[in-house]
Amino acid sequence: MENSTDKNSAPNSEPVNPIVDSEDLIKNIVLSGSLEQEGLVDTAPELDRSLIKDVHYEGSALLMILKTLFVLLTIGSLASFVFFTLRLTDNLDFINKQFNVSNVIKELSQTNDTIISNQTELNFLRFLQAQAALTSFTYYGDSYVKYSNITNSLTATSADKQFALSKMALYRPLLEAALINAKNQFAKPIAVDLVGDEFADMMQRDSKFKEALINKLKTKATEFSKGTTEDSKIAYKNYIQTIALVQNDKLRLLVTATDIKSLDDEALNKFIKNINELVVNDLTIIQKIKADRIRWSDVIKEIETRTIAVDKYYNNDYYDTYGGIRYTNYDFDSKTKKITISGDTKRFDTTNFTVIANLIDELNRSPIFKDAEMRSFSKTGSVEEGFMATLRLALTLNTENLGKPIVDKKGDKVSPLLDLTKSGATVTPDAGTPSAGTTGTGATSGTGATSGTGATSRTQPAPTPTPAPAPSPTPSPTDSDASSSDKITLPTLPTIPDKISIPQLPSLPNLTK
Amino acid sequence: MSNISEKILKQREGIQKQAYFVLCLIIMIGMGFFTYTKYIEFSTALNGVAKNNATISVLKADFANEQDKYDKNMKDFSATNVQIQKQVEMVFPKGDKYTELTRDIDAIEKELGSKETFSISNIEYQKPTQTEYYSILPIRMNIKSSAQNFISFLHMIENSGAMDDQVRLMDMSSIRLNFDKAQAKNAGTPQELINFSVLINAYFQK
Repeated sequence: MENSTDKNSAPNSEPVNPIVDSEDLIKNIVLSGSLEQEGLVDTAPELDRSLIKDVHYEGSALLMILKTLFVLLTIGSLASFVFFTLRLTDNLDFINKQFNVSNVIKELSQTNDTIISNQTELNFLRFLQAQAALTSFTYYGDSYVKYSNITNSLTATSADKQFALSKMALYRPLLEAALINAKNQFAKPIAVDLVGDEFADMMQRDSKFKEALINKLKTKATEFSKGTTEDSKIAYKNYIQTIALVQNDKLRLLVTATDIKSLDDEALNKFIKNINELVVNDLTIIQKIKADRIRWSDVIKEIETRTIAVDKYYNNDYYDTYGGIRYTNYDFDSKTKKITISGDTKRFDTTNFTVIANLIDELNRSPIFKDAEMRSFSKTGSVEEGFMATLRLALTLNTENLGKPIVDKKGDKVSPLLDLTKSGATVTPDAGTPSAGTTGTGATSGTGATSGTGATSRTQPAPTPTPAPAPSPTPSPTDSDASSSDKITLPTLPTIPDKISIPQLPSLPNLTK
Repeated sequence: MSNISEKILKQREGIQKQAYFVLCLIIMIGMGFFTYTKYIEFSTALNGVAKNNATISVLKADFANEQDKYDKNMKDFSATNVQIQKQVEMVFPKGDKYTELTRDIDAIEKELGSKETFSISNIEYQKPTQTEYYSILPIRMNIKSSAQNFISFLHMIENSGAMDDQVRLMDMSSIRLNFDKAQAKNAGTPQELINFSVLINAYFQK
């Protein structure tokens, strides 16, 4: 115990060698464990390394291999990291520049940009050509539609129609060539494949190319926007219209999906109008205005035709002598599509109201009129002088059917009204050739413009006087099986001879004077 | 003594082996994954660059061909386009150009009046209105005309704006007509005359 006490009292006197003096060590441990104020283990024993200095131990080959492998792997990892960082990122850009090492991702991005740029240049040329082709198409289409309308006109003469047909035949190949040109341009892809995740979506890829093209066109348009010369203005307008064309997917689809050679005249006419609806340029604006116009001459002609169905001798100047229908006033309004017709009817058999009622029904049978009505009837007169009833009809234009070709039940395009214009003088263009500007004028001889008066071209001998017959019931166009939305079926009208043989009548007093 | 030392060294060596093995394994897996993914990326990018370069070559060739076609087509089109623009300017001018229109109307009156009665008693240009794409100049006219000339006049308006006629684009907005009998242009030739008031829209570019 003393020893231990001594040792405890001088713990740092000398280093303890646990190997040499193991017994003391054990004692120390036991003693120190008995003392509450001291820890279980004293300060960490120090190893006398000199003791193992002389111990020679040869390390294992495996450890060497592992160490070598570790070094190699570390170097390899570093090399891999540096290599891929250099080639795939911009993080070590200064080294790239120093050693002229290319960044593949950057290179890929640059080549993608180059492709977009090159394709945009290509698209630029293609769309300008497509725009030119469509402008030509609408230009030729303007004339084609005009002549097509003449062939469908109620007031054009056969000569005018023949002339119009020959013109249409002339314009057709030009239209075909223009549309095929545009179609070829649109058939070529606007985009090409690009490498990169952001281009995986076709829609996004196409949008990128489209956007690039629009930007290029805008840049070009801006160059000419402040130009004062006519060429600059034309160029500016052309670029702006081409931008609209690039954005117009519907038009491109229509053009590429249409086989123009398979279209007949009527279908081509309709197709041109469809194109005009989709294209916005000066020509198509003009076309749209034209398409919305009402051909009042046809409307007047239709009123006359329907009147003739009720009053067979209408327009033959027998009103005063034998009675009938006479118009004194027309009022047309394009905005409201309302028509007001004023006039009077004269009968010697007191059936004026029946004539008016028949006229109302007849007008309502017309595909281009609706809502014809007259609610108040009144008449004056005597059997000797004849009874006169005032006529004041209000009707509305059925714009859906205006301008559509009128067909018979067989589906053949007809204008039965033309037969009515064969008699009498005709006004022809100066040159004797049907002129586009005055087309149809020749057809107006003695037509409904002079409704009820018969002042013009009344050189025929007078017909055998008979009371105005009641109109034959005519089938309603709605009953027809040919009443499609595109074609109007004309009801059967009373047959009117080409020339009415009118015997010489004794001179009768003009009752209206 | 030497045994103990050897034991310690062996023990340390064992630990080192384990440590190196684990480290090598980690590096190998990490580097392998990194290198593999980066290689795929690199390889894809390289192929992409090669593919893009091929595409660029094709596009350059296409562009050269297209440029030739463009030059040829646009040379033809330029002439047509100038013609179109001139004709458009005639039928659909920039600005209302009412003085030119007045002269045109006078010419129409002269032409129609040379054959039968056609007399414009007044022309009143109203305030132009604008739509999205064009402007409208409303014109009110009072005309006395023969029946034939009335129809001829209607046809002129209905067919106006055709490119090949170069007549100003117009449209009949409303017509009010009265038939006036017992007028005569030429002595001894009774002729019905129509008095009509028309509201015509003449169109022009915005």
